[in-house]
Amino acid sequence: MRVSLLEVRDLVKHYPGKGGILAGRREKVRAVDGVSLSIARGETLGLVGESGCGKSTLGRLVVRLEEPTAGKIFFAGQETTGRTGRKLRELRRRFQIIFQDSSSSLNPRRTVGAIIEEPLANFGVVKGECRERVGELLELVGLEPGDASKYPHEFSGGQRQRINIARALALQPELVVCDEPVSSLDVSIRAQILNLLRELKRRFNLSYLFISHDLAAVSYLADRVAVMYLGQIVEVLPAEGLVSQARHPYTRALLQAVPEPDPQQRTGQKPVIRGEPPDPASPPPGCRFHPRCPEAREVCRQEEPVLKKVGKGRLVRCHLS
Amino acid sequence: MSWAPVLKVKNLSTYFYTRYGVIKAVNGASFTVAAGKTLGLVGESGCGKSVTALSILRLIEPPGRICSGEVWLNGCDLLKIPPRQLRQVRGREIALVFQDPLTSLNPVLTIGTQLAETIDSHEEISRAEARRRAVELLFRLGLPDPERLMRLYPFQLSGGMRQRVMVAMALALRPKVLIADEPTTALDVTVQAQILAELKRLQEELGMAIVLITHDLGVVAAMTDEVAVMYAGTIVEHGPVAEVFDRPAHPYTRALLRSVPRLGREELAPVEGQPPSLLNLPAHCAFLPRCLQAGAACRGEKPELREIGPGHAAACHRLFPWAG
Amino acid sequence: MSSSKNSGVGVAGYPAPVESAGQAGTVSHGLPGSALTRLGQDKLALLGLVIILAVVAVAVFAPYLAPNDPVKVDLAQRLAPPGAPYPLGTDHLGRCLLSRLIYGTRVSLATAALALSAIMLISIPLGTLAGYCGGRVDSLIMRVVDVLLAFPGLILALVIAGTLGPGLLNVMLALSLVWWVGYARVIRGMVLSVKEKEFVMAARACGTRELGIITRHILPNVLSPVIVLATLDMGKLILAISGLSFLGLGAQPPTPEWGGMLNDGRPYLQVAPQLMVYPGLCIMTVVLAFNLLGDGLRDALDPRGSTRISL
Repeated sequence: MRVSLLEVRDLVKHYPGKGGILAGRREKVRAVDGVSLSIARGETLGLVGESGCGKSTLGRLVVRLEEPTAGKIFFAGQETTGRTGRKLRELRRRFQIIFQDSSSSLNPRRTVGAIIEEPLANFGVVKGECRERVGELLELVGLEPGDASKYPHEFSGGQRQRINIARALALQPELVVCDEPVSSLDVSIRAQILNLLRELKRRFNLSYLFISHDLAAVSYLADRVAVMYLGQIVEVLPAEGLVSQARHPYTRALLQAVPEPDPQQRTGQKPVIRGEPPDPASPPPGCRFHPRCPEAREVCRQEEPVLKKVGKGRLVRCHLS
Repeated sequence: MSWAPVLKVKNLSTYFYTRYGVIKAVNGASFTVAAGKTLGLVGESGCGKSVTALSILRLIEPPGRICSGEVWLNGCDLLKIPPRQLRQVRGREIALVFQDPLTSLNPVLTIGTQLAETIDSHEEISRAEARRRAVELLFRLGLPDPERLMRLYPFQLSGGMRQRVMVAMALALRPKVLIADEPTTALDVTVQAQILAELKRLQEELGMAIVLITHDLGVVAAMTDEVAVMYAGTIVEHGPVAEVFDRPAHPYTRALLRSVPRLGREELAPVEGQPPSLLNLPAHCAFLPRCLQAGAACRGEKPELREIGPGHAAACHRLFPWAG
Repeated sequence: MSSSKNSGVGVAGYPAPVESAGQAGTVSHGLPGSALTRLGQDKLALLGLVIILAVVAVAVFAPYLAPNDPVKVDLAQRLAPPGAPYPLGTDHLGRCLLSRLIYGTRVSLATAALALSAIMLISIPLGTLAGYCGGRVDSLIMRVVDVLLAFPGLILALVIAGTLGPGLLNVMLALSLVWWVGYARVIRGMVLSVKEKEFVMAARACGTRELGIITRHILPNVLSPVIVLATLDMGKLILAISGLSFLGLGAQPPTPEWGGMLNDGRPYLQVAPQLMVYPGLCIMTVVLAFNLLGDGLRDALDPRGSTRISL
């Protein structure tokens, strides 16, 4: 068995609930509520879920942009939780993040060269070498070395995302967290970036934590897929078995809700689940999915299911499987 | 298929006169929608699909201007009728739903007030009657507890509920045509599926035509009868949805279909390059720089939309080697 | 052409050109270069700039421009009408009015500029600190700000200047102590919004130290609106300094200062109105020029003005 590069154990992140004197006391928001997962070297784990399920928070916890409330994160066998200052910085170069909004993740007042140089300079690469590396990185992501002198607003959304990728790869990280990297891009550009990410992964044996609400995009890049609902992982399964082997009712509902770009497959449009995810500040008792679950039974309303192994590399959090 | 078009758009052009030059956002778009049918208007951001929607209702603000074209509805050209009459048409005959329901709803008024206002601004009925109709509408859109909902403010609703309210508001006066501009783009897939299903159901009930503007080919496949593909302000392909998806004729349509990731598909073939700048559109086919099938004829005049099959048309020189 | 109800919507439906503006939020998108080009197209702002440059030139070259010594008293020529040695006439002590106005430019501009620098020196670090650190630091700084804001600014400045005693330096000090709070508050707000931007997070993720994040990522994105505010405030400061001088707290005789000159001319309003008219006009022109430039800068640095048009 391969060594896991990233290991997350019982990670919890609670935010103080909003609302002041007028709103009265409110429960804290349980953005991430006891998540455990691991990613092997060179592996891509897709993390899917609807907005507000905590997937982005989880991504930020992993690269230590947020402090977890509880739980542990291990990177290449070393615990990153609890590390601060220089000890954390040393590890930072080994894991990077790419954000969804390609324009707000680039400082509008700095040139592309300065943006990509920043991580290099942070870790003591000398000026002349920096410039050379920036050129190489720009070419790597399909831009011109001459683009280094331009400003982010001179590029289109897809090109800006390439710049983000170049910056993330500057320090030759082992793990890259991709937080919805293609969601704000146009269809034709989306495919370009997905292909680029895939090629870079093969070339540098990168591991990705690929966060997206787009199941098709996830299945295109990921080796394994983890499905999140209300701060918890409800199912983990190999990507190739996503369509055929999904067991959790939520995963199946998600799969059926994705409209296929094929008019022949139009299936009476009966949405499988109704309603919207409840407020993460007050998750329902029992199984968190039971109020929307078409198969919910009495036990689902009473007891909270645990994530249990149902096959090789497959985990499901459901009483019925 | 019954073919009585309710909405007919002919040669619509909308330009924006900015200090950087003229942005030709819509450049001679033509299409029709039949009663009870759905037309999907697909394209990437900046292709002019939203501007087309706004132009139909004459909602273009300076520096934008509708330069030419006709929009026929009920035997009158919406681009020519006086503003008074236009106000009657808006809402009653054609309604609009936008992508972001939060900015389209007034944050300081309750849902009930806004809905009732929409209804009684156009119809001579009492406030109580308007509210009763509003409750009924919300109920028909699958919103739970509509009575309570009427008393809530927009910020108290989730994104999906807000969008349903927007749809309810748009349908309040039973319009003949609904223009939905990316109505589910900001929503989660499970919520999207629900709203699309409600739309479909209400369309059957009310017999209205829908112009569904989206970039999501999956939504187009699931919802529409006809599809028009837009690129750089022009419609490059138009036809029955099954036909266009099965036998895409325009290279852009083909490339677009190949670049969508699908569950269980292994390879993606993206369209390389970027869409052209609308500031200085070339005289030739706008897709030429990204086209893999381009030939000598493509450097000539911009191709016209020509029929290539029953109800199926495309604007590409390569499809008509004998012409032009 | 469109109903007012939908007027906001027309913009939302506009295609890609405004896309980047929407995403940029409060962070200004323009680079100094492009902002200057846009400023160049704004005729009123250019007029303001030209006037300011001219006034600065007058201040710098005052000794060469002034026909007479501004403080030399010639009691024989008291309240002389405009004429040969005194182009604008003389004041109640027979001093050359034009020369005093010219030298007064120096005093007014320099005092306002110094006061503004002091304001920046206090407000930028404190505002940034409050916004960036948050928590107790933020509460502490903002409570001080709240307390100071609870008093009417000019009155408080008057009290401080009065306590410290008359003199230009004390007026500057008083104004700086009162004026920085507004800036600190604005800067804190902007820092708070920029701090949440993903490029700040990206910088942290790639190992940039906190100081680097503040200096390279946060401050550059906060400063351009501050520059606009400061330009607009230059006019207000000149006015305030003149006002305090008019009340006798600022420049002390015989230093020529516009506000002080207004005060000096007051008893002679009936016989020699030019004593008050000319300094008044000077103050008005300079204040107006700074306002024009400030408005122009605001438009030029507005992210919506600099959106990418190429699609």
